[in-house]
Amino acid sequence: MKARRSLELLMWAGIFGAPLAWATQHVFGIGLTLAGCGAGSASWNVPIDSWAAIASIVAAALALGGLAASVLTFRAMRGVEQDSPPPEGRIYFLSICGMVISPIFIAIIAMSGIATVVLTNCRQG
Amino acid sequence: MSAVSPKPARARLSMPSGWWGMALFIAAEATLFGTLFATYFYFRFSTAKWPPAGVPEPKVALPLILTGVLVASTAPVFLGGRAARAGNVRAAWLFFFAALLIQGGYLGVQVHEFTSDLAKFSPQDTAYASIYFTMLGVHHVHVALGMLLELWVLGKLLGGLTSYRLTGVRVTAFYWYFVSAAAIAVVLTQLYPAL
Repeated sequence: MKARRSLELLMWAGIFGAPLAWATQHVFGIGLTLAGCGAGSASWNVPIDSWAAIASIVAAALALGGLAASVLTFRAMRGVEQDSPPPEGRIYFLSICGMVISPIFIAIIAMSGIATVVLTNCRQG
Repeated sequence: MSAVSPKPARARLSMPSGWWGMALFIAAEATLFGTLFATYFYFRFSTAKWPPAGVPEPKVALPLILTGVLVASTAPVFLGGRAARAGNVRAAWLFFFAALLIQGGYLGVQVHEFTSDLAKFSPQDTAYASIYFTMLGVHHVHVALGMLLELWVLGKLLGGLTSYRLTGVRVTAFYWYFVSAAAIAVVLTQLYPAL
């Protein structure tokens, strides 16, 4: 029973890990832009690129953790099919979903981070 | 089509994988609608005059009535789902068919309104027109997709009810609840300049 609960937690970490990591990076980026580019905070001299790079690396690490959680869940459910009755069928199915969506969010996190560092700050183009 | 088929087993306390698949799909769709609303209001707060000069204010009464009709169509969808869970295939089929007719009427009038708006202003003209047509177009596509799901359910129900098909009925109803909620958010955003 305890092992199944741990597996369920791992499955949810796999499903939500990467999307939440991207959402956090995105919201942090909005705050960073407001702090770095706003007229009221111009004197703060916020190092946007450095903070964006740190946020992207942390988010990518969290998203990779989510992917790893999904892979571990999938491996633990070997022998189960997605049409199997819940909870085993659900855990197996959602671990596959986690393995599919995590790489997509890792790519989004990487593209957002690289774009922020490479493109000119505080200018809409 | 049998009138009443044996009640499918309801021993499951957890949702089947199909339900979770639809839940994830709806989460992705909700994100899409969220970005559309955010884009609409981002443009709105960047512009003094909204809608811009030369673009008529949206009509209020007709979109509200149509949205009421669409939201009302969730009642036969709900009843159809309940009938299917009770094993009453005939009632489920009739409820879903009634819902499909209502939603077909809704979509027909909305497509007519959409094309009539296109004749008045073009999505290429302004940011307002661009997000207006994108938001409404995406919503109409979701209604059309829901109707295709219902057609699929109606076809499957003709062959009777299995646990697998019952899952299909449940996820189709789930999808419609989401589309109805999205319709309310879309119409309020659409009518915002005239409210």
